[in-house]
Order: sequence, then structure tokens, then C-alpha cells
Amino acid sequence: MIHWRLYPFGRLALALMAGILLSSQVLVPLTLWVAAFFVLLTYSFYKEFISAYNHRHSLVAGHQVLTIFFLLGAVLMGVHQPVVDRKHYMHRIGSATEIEGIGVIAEIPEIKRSVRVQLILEHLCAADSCMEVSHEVMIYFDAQDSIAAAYHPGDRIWFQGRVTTVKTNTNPGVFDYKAYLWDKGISHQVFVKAGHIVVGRKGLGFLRQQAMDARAFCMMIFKKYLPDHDQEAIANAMILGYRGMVSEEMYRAFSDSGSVHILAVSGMHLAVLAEVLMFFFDRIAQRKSWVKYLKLVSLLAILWFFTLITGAAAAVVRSAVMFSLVLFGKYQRYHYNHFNILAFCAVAMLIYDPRLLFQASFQFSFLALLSLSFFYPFINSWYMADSRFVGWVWQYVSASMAAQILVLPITIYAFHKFPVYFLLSGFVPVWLSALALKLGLLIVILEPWSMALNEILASVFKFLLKMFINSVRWVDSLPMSSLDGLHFTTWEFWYLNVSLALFMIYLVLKRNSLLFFALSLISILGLSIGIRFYAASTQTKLTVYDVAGGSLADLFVGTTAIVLGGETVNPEKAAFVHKEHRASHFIGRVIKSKGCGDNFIMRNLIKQGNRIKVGKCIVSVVNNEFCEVSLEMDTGYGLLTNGVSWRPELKLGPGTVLIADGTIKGDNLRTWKRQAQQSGAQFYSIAERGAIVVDLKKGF
Amino acid sequence: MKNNPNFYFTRRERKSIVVFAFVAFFLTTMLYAIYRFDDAEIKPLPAILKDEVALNSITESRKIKKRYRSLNPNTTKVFKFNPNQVNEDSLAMLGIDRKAISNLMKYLNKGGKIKDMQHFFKIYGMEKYRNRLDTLLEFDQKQRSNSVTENKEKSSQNIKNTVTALLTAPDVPVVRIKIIEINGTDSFELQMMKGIGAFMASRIIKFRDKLGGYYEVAQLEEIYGMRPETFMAISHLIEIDTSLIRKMDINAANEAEMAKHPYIGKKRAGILAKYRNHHGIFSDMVDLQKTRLFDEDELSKLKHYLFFQ
Repeated sequence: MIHWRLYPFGRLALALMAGILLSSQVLVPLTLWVAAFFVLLTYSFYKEFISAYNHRHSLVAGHQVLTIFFLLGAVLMGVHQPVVDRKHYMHRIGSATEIEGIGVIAEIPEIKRSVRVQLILEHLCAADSCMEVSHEVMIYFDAQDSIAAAYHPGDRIWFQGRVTTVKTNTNPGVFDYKAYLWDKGISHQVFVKAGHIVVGRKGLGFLRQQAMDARAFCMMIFKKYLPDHDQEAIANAMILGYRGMVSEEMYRAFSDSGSVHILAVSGMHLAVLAEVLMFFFDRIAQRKSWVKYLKLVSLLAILWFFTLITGAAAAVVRSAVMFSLVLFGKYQRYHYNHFNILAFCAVAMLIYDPRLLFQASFQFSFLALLSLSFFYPFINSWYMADSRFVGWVWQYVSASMAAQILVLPITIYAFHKFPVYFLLSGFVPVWLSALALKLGLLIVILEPWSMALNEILASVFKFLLKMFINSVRWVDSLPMSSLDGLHFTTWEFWYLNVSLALFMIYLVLKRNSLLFFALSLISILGLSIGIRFYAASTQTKLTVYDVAGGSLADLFVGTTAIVLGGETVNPEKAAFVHKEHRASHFIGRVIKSKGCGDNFIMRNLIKQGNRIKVGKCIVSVVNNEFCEVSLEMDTGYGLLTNGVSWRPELKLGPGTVLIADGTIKGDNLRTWKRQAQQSGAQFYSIAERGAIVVDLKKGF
Repeated sequence: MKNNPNFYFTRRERKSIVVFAFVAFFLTTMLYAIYRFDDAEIKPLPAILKDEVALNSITESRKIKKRYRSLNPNTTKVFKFNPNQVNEDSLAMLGIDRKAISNLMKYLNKGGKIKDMQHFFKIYGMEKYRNRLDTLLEFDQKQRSNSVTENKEKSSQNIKNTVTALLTAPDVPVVRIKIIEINGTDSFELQMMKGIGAFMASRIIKFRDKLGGYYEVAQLEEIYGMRPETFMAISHLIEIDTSLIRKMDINAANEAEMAKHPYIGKKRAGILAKYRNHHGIFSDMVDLQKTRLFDEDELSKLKHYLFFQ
């Protein structure tokens, strides 16, 4: 039996999450949720507090209570939607293409291809009058704009620029940036070329401003002592939660070696900070009881301020809440249960902002800790070491393995990769990073008091960071350090999650039926992947990607992809667009089509010039190379690429499907549309409607 | 199933949960009401900016300048510099420790001049930075291709262009920015500018009083504690009336008066006084040049402050 009495917040957290999930998926008016919640709450209030207590069927009463939390989740999710807020700037901008406004810089600018700044928009202005608005907007300045690059969080600026909505990336399998920003309440982006001035400072509110100023102070200390850019970037990411300086290559190395969690400030960092602080606090005598409470309050204040300094991401807030409760419990000598505290953190954070449920930081943080807390005792008990050293090593191995179990499905589903050497990175890199973290914090604490000592500590700090980065790179350089191209469909993801949940319940209840169901779901998962793999071996699909300023398409024939176009597309951009889509279709071989002079025959495929015959279907690539055979297009698919213009020699018919990629725009597009209409052909424009995947067996 | 353990809550738990949900609902309803019914206020733009300027001067005066003086996370990391003209904050940005910076500043403030790279690294504490700084030192101002200067000039020009465009564009709401005449202003007005607090304002005034007035905006960079970013932010807001410069009669001033002038200093004041006693009064700048106490740059600065009677 699961003793829910020991984890009172466990069931409530599950009910709350269910309400939030359902509300986000099902379109029900907010007023309906609010009405249902209010009615049920009032009825429960009456039953529990006012009516004479007659025996209430516990099943009904229990369901009622859980339903209250379920409806609470739905209501919270509805209220926190950005559209509900009338002051949200999206209601004011409408179809405007240029705006001017006043806002406060919320984060340190990120300088890569442009200077990107998150701004809390306060006023939208026109003709010398301004209207109050709310919520954040993304602003992009020119990469050469040194003024924008020097903005500090808290600076209030006046700006004017071009505004657009954040566009969805329609390419299949690609990260949805629009949804990611929407979860933060950001719906628009502004491009400012010139015309921005600082009109004030310290606009973030007292605590947050102090935290941002402290962060800038700490970043300057690292800048002073760490001349190497990579070391400075890693120190800022690890200790201050600022990842804007970490290069993409470095991030990929960390991700592939299974050490990327070190770059995100989390419970480990708070634990190290607490350890450093306790080292100083324990030196203070504790003869009086108020000294004990003063230490506790000071420790919590510093931990929470550090949470603000690092940007208050979900993972670190979760750790701070848990730390606060555990420390309070320890000082008061209360019994506490880690699972209940974890559930309480989830409830508290989701009540504050239910959209956190959809953020990777929140999901990974809770799943990793739940997995660690639950599976570690079981795995650790598999082996009893004789020596202390082996026991210590086994402890770390079992902790690393335990933490990965519940995180595995979401790692594969969200990132499509798995770090093979996560156990190895749990040793050297993690240890080095913990030491470097302690030293980094010490340097920051000691900087105002003793710079001479800091010079000595800094040289050790530099050495540790160098070793840490080298160890990560070494793990990354090992063969097959990361299994890429892994892919789950949504159903498969949930099969795996449910089977893991059933397995966890089995470990508690020891009922064989649960194990049987868990294994059945794993079998279904395997079967699903097998079916997909078999289907992939006989697939014929045409995918035309939406790539700005370039042409790129893939023709999947079995597990082979024939790349059409791509000469004008940056290779990194091309990989970003097609990588996951190819992985999800089990593509093992890639052939680059070379245009007119490239003829070959494969199983089920004949390529002649720009014309490809797959089974009974014909795909013609129409670019500025007009090979003889591609001029007749009265059946099959015509792929218009590289901005090709209409030529009268082309023959279109009612059986033709024309797909124009993103390079066919403006007058050229109108001409093609007109010609297609006149000849009765179907027409699809990537520029207007986004990327498309056509199953050639089923038709358009 | 009467007492299904998965759905069983004690009465106490049920009451607590109902109260908890009620409080959460109440707070959520308040938030919803604010979102739905709080009307957006419309304000005139100049009023918003005026409030901001007033707030800015108050918060700046509270800033702990010593702690944040040399710290700025968003500047160029590596840039060429003239060791005779660079300030402390720029040196700190290059990663040089305070002791070495202090030694260099003391040397320069006493009238010293760094002639070449060897001379620079003889300053106590600078030798260890040889590998980092040897390619960054510049000594000829005319050939200066300092990337910081280029950035500053470009940024300063950007701001000027922006302000000009704002002031002249017909349909764009105008942001009225106050231009301050620095030779006639007081410290209160100076504090209205972004980045200038009470300390910096007083330093600007003190330096102005010692000089007799500013003849060009670039002189503000010579002020102790003036950061490059602060200078960039305020340079377009300043104008100079050179008629207000208080000039010194080099032939009538005594040694103490000459020593107070930042471009002369105590040591040179003593030498000038003795030279004047031996050789007679100075009739023009050429006579001053003959003393060999000043190089061409210094003379070009001094000529604005001296008159020969």
C-alpha cells in the first residue's frame, strides 16, 4: 500500500498537474473552469465547516478534494495565459509594423549575430503620448551597436524599431521557439537599427535590481581574473547562471559528454554555497538560541539572494525552496520527508506560475531529484563494497545511474540524444566543477577584503577550470560519446513514462501485476519503434524545408535520403533543419543530388537529370538548370527552387502538384500561381504556408 | 470501497486543503481582476521622462561608487591605450591589479611621462603583464588607432545622429534632452545626466575650478573615476562656452598658484618660477617651450589657460 499520509502533497501535486495539462490542451472557456471551481469549493467549504458532520463517504470526499486541486490547476493555467492580461502589449500592437516605446532591460544582453535583449515593455508611445502596457518583448540591436551591448539590467530605454510576431518554425521536428517564448509571455520581437536612448536606471524593483547589480559585480571579478574567454564563460555559467558567453561548440561538448547539467545552476550549486557559508557560520559560537536563528535566517537570505542573482530559473528555485524547508526542519528538529517536500515545491511553484510545468528546467529538475531519491537506495543496495574507497565509488555510480532513469525519456524526446559516458562525467568533470565552484564563490566573497589572497586563489581557480574544460572535452572526444538521432513519438514517450511509473509502484507494493503491465508497455514501445522502422524501410516521402533565403528538400526512399538543393544554405542551418526529421525516419544514408549531369538507379528509384521516378511517382526539380527531361511536368510533383522563374516551355497539367520553396516570392510567386491555376495544377508555397512533408504513396 | 487508501483524506486534511485552495483561488481571482479590469493609463511622454530623470539623480546619489567604480561587464576586453592618458578603470578592464595601477597613477600624477614600452614595464607591478600588454601600448597620439576610441567615437556619433534625428523628425515624438553648458553649470544640474552622481559631479566641478574651465569635452576623460561608458553617455549632452575659461597670468602667478593647475603641477611650477626669475617674463608660448618642461601636447592644452602680460 502506498502510504499517502506520509506524502500529503504528492496526490495534490499530481491533481494540480493534471488540471494544468488538461487546461492547456482542451479549449474550455476560462469562466467555465472558474465557475466549476467556485461551485465545488463553496460546496466543500459548506460540507467541511458548516454542516453537521455526518459520516461522509471517504471516497467521495477524497475525490472532491482532488477535483478541487485539479480545477485549481485549470483555473491558474487559464488566468496565466498572456492573452488574459488586457495590458499585454499584443492587444495594442495589432498589425503595426513599427513601434516606439519605453521599457526596462531585464537581462544582460546576449551578443552573437546581433545584440539580443529581453525588455520589460512599460509604455507604447505615439505622437508624444504613451500608454501603459506590460510583459516582455525580445529586442534585437545591430551587432555593431556598442551602446546596446553595454546596456545593464535595470536600464530604462526609449526605442523605436520594426516589430513582428515571433514566427513558428514549421520545419518538422525542430525546436518550437515561438512556443518557448509564448510560455514566458513573449509574443513579439522588435528590430532596432538606430534610435534608442537610455532615459533612466534602476528600473527593476529593489531586490531584483540589487541581484542584477551583484551579478554584474561578480561577472566583472571573473573577467578580471580569467583572461581566457572559455574559462570566463564557464565560470559565469556555472556560478552565476549566465550562459550568454558559452559558445555553441562548447555547449555541444558539454551536452554530448553528459555534463550539461553543470552549466545550469541547480541544487548542487546551492549545496556548495551552503557548504562554503556553513564553514564561516560554524566559526560563530552558538551559546544563545537567537544566534542559531540568526544563522538560519542569514543562510536562507543569502541562498535566496543567490537564487535571484542566478536568474531564478526553475531548477534553482526548486532547490532554494527545498533547502529552506529542510534547513528549517533540521533547526526545529521536525521530521521531514524528501518526497513530500519535493511535492510541496511543485505545488508552490505551479501555483505561482503554472506555465513552469512546460519548461525543460522545471521538468528535468524535479524528475532528476525524484529519480535520485527513489532509485538510489535500490541501486546502492545491489552491491556491498568491502573497502571504503570502492564503496564511495559505488555510491557515485549508483547516484549517477539513479538520476538518469526518469530523465531518460524526456532527454530522448526533447533532445534526441543520449550521453553514453554519463557515468564517466559523473566522476572527473563533476568533481572538478564542484571544486571550481567553491573556489569561485570564495573569490567573489573575498574580493572586497583581500585582493592579494584572491590573486593566489585565482591562479588555482584558473587551473581547475582548465582541467574541468579539458576533462569534458576528453569525454566528448571518446568514440560514440553521444547517441544521436534517437527519436520517440509522443505515444512512445508516454508508454515509457507510464511503464517507469508502474515500475516504481511495483518496487513499493511488490505486486507482480504491476511489473507485468510495465513490461507490457515496454513491449508495446518496442513494437511501435519496430513498426516505424519497418515502415521507414518502404517509405517514399518528399520533405520541402522552410529555410530563409535558400532551397532545401529531402526525398526519402526507404532509409536513404536524396538531398535536393542545399547549395545556397549554410551547412549548420541545414543540419539544424533536417537532422531530427531524418533521424525520426531512420535515414541511414544521404545522397546529394548534383543536378542535370547526375543520373543513377537505385532500388525503386531512377534519377535522370532533374527528374526522379520513385515507383509510379515522378518528382521534377525545377531550378535554373533546365535539363531536357524535366520540361514536361504534366504528372507528378514539381519542386520549384532557387528562385526559378516561369518558362513557357513548361507543360503543366491537372495531375501536377507544384511546390514552391521559400525562394519563390513576390511577383515570381504570383506568376507561378497564375500559371498553375490556368493549367489546373495544384500549388503549395513554402513561403506562405511553411514546410511540408508529402507521403508520395498517399498523394498530396 | 469505503476507505480506499489512495483517495482517503482525514477530516483535518480536507479542511486544510479546502482553506489552502480557497486562499489560492482568492489570490488568483485578484490577479485575474487586475489583468481584466485595470485600465491602461495614458501619460504624455515628456512627463514620463521627467519623472525618470528625477528618479535617476536620487538613485545615483545613493550608489556606492567605490564598490562599483571600476566595474562594468560590457566593455571591450582588449584595446590599445596610451599609458600617459589612460585612466584607472580602463586599466582595470585589462585585468591589471590595483597595486600596479596605483603605482602608475602616482607616477603620472607627479608629472611623470611614460616614453616607451621599457619605461612602462619598469613601473612596479607591471612587468608581469608584459606578455599581455606589450602589443597594446601606444605612444604616438596622432597615429592612435585605439579601438576603444574608434568605438567611442562611433557610438558617440550614433547617439548624436539619433538625437539629431529625434529632434528634427516631424512626426516622431520629440525627446527633449537638456544640453548642459559645463563651464557655467552647477553640480545639481550635472547630476541630471545618466552616470553622474554626487561624487562625479563634484569631481567635475573641482577639476573645472582647478583648470579654470574646460575648452573641449574630451577633457572630461581626464577626470579621476570617469569611466569610458559614462563619458560616452554624457558627451553629446555637453556644450562648452570657452569664453568662461578663467585664464592665468603666467608672469604674475606665484609658484603655489601655478602648482594648483593640473597641467603644470608642483614640480614644474617650482622650475617655472625659478626660470622666470633668471630669464625674465614669458612673452608667449614659444618662451614656455624653451623651458623644455612641456611637450607639444601639453603646450597645446596649456595655451587655453594662460595669458602673457
